[in-house]
Order: sequence, then structure tokens, then C-alpha cells
Amino acid sequence: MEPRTTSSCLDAETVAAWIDGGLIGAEQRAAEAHAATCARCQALLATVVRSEPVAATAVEAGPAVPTVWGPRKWVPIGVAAGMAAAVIALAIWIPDHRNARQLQSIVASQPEEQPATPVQPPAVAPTQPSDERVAPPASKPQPRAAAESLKTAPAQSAPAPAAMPLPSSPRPAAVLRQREEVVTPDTVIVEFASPEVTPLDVQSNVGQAQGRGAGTGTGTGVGPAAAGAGFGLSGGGGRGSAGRATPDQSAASSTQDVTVRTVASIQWRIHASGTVERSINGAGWEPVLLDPPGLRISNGTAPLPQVCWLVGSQGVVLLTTDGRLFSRLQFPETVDLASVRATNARVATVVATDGRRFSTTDAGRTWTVQ
Amino acid sequence: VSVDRYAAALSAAGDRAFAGRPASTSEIERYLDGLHLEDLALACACIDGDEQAWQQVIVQCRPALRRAADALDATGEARDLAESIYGELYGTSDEDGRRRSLFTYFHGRSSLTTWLRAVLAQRFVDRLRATKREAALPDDDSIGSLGSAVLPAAPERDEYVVAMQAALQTALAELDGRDRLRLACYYAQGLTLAEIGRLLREHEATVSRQLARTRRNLRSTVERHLKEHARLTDEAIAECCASLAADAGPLDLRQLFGPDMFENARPGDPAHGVRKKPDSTRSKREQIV
Repeated sequence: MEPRTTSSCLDAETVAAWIDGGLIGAEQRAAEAHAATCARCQALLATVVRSEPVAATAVEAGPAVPTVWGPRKWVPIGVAAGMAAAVIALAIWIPDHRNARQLQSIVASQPEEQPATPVQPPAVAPTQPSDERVAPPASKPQPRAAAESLKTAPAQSAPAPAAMPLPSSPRPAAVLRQREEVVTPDTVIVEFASPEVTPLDVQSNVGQAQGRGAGTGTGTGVGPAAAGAGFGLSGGGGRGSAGRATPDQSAASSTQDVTVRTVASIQWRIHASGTVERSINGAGWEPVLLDPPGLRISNGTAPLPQVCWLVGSQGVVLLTTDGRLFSRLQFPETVDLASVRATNARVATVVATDGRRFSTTDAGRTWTVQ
Repeated sequence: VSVDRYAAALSAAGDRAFAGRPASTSEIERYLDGLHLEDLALACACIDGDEQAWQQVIVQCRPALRRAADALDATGEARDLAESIYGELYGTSDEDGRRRSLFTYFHGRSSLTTWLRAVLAQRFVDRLRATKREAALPDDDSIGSLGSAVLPAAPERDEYVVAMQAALQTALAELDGRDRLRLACYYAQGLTLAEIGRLLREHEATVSRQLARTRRNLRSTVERHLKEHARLTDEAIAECCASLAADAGPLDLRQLFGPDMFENARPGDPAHGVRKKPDSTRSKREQIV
């Protein structure tokens, strides 16, 4: 009656004891050792944890920034089922872009050195990556304007350009002062979105592309949602689980549940208070925890899915390559930074409030002043 | 609850916890301190058919079980699954005609509510395993054509995929069990740092630090493996990583985190014996990708 998948798989009683701290010594170690190599038991543990009513998570107890989470305290409706389903249905057959994120995380964690004319940065204490809840892709496609972004999204394997044109940003310091004068701390000063590159979604994107605007860019404007109008939300692909849809069918069946996992489209916005929020597939804004807290972020850009650069005061440059965990990069000076442009996780140019430009081609290991 | 019944339950719980192995005094004390004796007594009373105990279980556990079911599946199917558990809790007749209650498997090492949540989660996961096995997949040609539309394949891509697969397998195998579990929970299961922290009894910041450290180690091991075994140069390694980071292709890290879930299906399980998709499907996709 008590289902056990294999003799060593964890049963419900053991899992419950694990959750409540009832496993002792060797039994706990044995359970962990097994779960580390058993996808089924990992899924079981994850499902139990997700079903746990938690009073307050670290995210919810985090910075007091606007959030639209609502009363839900753990997994959004259907997410747990979707996650488990994805694990089961896709683990074997479908190479989805979660792998890409994993690989990007691993690949980008230690970028290779590249010869340059380096400016030796001062020692900066590495920022521990923080985390916040990530809403998986919504089960229903949402309005999008990703087709253009697909066309314009730079391929990550493409060679990095030698120099990147930056938009002329005269008197950035004046812009910052002006912003401080006219906005309230909760005003959104910058909003930008990552381009969506999702092979499974391309057909449906094409089907919905007509008449829609570009879905990528970097917001540098001042004022509420200055750049937000140009960014379309991107959701899951319009592909049913039981067959193949044409582009038109995909667009037409937008209410259809989907079972494929896609790369999440992430929108970012930065408040005048310096706090950062993120929205995945338009699922609501979540605060992004930055460690140490209190960093004042002024601008950012998301050149690729899962890749986002943030800059702020006192030489703060943060980078995430998985859309979740930000690491603080070394920067040669403690100057306030006004804007950033990037083409991928390695190549970026940062503009300081005094007008100087700092470029890196190795994910912030070395910087050159222009 | 009769003394004999309770004593038998305690004895079974002790046997379960220590499985015949010698235990230190501290372990025994910790075990005894952690026992949920009232819940164990309640379960024993339910096994004996005590009406008041049943009412107590319904009042105490049903709301929590419903909330857990709703958290797992908003369509109500998980709630149906939760309701079906009560039948098993009451007990079904075994081959000898005796009623055997699911409560028999509760040993008091957790609260009754947590145990019921775990039972529900187990049913939920096993049912997903059974149903998703036969779910249709997107046509392979669509995956291939779409993938190639996004990113042109490098000439050495096939070689890169094989090399990276081997390197990752090696790197993951070298990880400490706890590190590997943490990584799998984060990437394969999509748990947040807070949820992983609750599972592993670690602070959220500790989970974050350990994940970062594990990723660094993983990266280091992968690079070393690519150099030593695949004989790739630094430039080729960078190209390999960039190519696979942009498009993982057939590489599925979740498969590397644990053995094929379907392979574990036990005899008698609804999922057991169901034919997997033919290998030709996979081969076709791999050829395209």
C-alpha cells in the first residue's frame, strides 16, 4: 500500500520525517545521498516543500518595495503541477532552455581572461547572489512583441564587436539630478526587457508578429515607465501538448494550455529608490534581492534572455547570467554610474555620471577607460 | 488507545528509525524528543476505528491537506487525490480479509499533517509520472528547424555536445551529495533558495553561497575535463561553452541530476511497464539538433 519506487527510494513517511526534522544521523545522510541522485525523490521532496504553508519567506520579508504578489505565499496556481510535469515530461526528451540557463550560469561563472589594456580594479567584496521567487512560464500565452526581438537578439556565440556605439547621453549627471528632483522614491525610472530567444516559440512568435513592435531595448528615460511602452510581454508557446500547430493556429489557440517549457521573458524595472524588480512572463513584479542590501541601482540592460547588467552609485556593477542571481563585478573606480549598454554577458560599456565610459569584454574582469 | 496498540506502534517506529543498527544515547534522545506522540496516538486510535479520533483527524488535517492540494494543482485534481487518501486511511482489506489502514505507516517522526502532505505529494508525483509518460511531444522537425533558425550550429557542435555531456557527468559525479542535491533542487526542481533552505535546514544566504561555490567547482571541473579528456584548447572550450549556453540542444542537465524517473517504476505501479517513446524519436531529434 505504501508506494515505494525502489528499495532505496524515499517513502512518504521518510520524506515527512525529513521535512519535520525527524531523521537522525545516518538516516538523514542516507536519505540525502539517495535524493542527490534520484530525480523522482527530488521531485517528491520539492512537491512536499512547495505544498508547505509558509508564513513568510525571505523574499516577502525583504525590501519594502511595491509588489503584486497578492496573498499567495508559495507556488502560483498550477506552477507546482507545471514544474513537476515539466520535470517528468521534459527531462528525457525535450532539451529546453532551462539547460541553457544552467549552462550559462556555469559558463559565465568564471569568464576567461582576455588581453586588454586593463585598469586594475580595486578589491571589491564579491556580492553573494541573492534569490527571489521565480515564476515559471505562464501556462497561457500572453501578448508579445518578441518577433522583432528574435530578429535583433544577438546570438551569444557570435563574436563580440570591438566597439559598441552608445547612445549619446549628454550631461548624465544633470539627468540624475533632475530625476531626483521630480520623482518619488517609488517611481519607476527605468524599465527594460530581455529579448526572447525560444526555439520552441519561434513559429508562434512569427504568427503573432505582424503589427507588433520591437520587443527589446534599454530604457534610459526619466519618469514612470518611460521605456515600458515598447516592451511586449512574452509567454509560453502556443503549442498544444498533443500535436503540432501552425503559426496561425498557435496564435489563434492562445487560450490553450501548453506543456512545453520556454525561456521566460523577463522584464526589469528600477525604482528611483534604487530597488530593482523583475517580472517573468508578465506574472507580476517581484523584488530582486541585492546583497548587500541598500545598493542604489540607477540603470540596467538585458541584452539576452537571463542576462542582465545593472549599474548604480559608487561603482556598483551587477551581472546575472541566469536571470536570478546577481554577482557584483569589480569596477576600477567608485564613481557613480549612469547607464550601461551590453551585447552579452561579457561585453558591456558603462557610462559614469562624469561622462567617462568604461568598457569590458571579459564580464568585468578588466575595464578600459574611453 | 490500548496500551498494546500504542506500544506496538512505538516499537515499530523505533525499528523503522534505527533499522536494527546500534544507536548512540544522543541519537536515541533526539529521536524520542522528536516523536509526535499525540499524533501517533491519534493514528493508533484511527486504526482501531475510534470515531472521535476520526473526527479529530478530519478537523485537524483536512483543511491543511486541501490547502496543500490546491497549492499543487489548482484544477482540483489534487484535491480529488487528497480526498481519495481518506479511504486508504480508513483501510482496505488485504488478502487475508483484514482491514489495513494507511495509518500503519505513520510512525510519529513527523506531524500527522506533514505526513499526509507527503503522502499526497507522493501520489501526485507518481500520478504525474504515469500520465506524463505518454504525453505527446512537439514534433522533432519543429524543434530542429526552430533551433537552427535561432543559432547556426558550429561545425564542431556535435563534438562539443558529447564532450560537454561527459564533462558534466564527471563534474556532477564528483560533487558532494548535499551539493548535488542543492543544485538539483535549484535548477532541476526550480525551488527557491528559501525552499531549499527549509529542506536542507540551511539559511537562505548559506544556500546561495553554497550554490555559487558549487557552480564554480562545476565550471572548474568541466574545464579541466574538457582539456584533459576532450583535448580542447582554451579557445575551443570557450566556443563550446558559448555554443551550448546559447542552445543546449540534446543536452539535458536534469537527466544528469538523477536517473531516469521512469526507469524506477516499480512493478504494480500504474507507470510500470508502459512503453517509452521509441529511440528513433530521440535519434531523429539529435540528428536535427
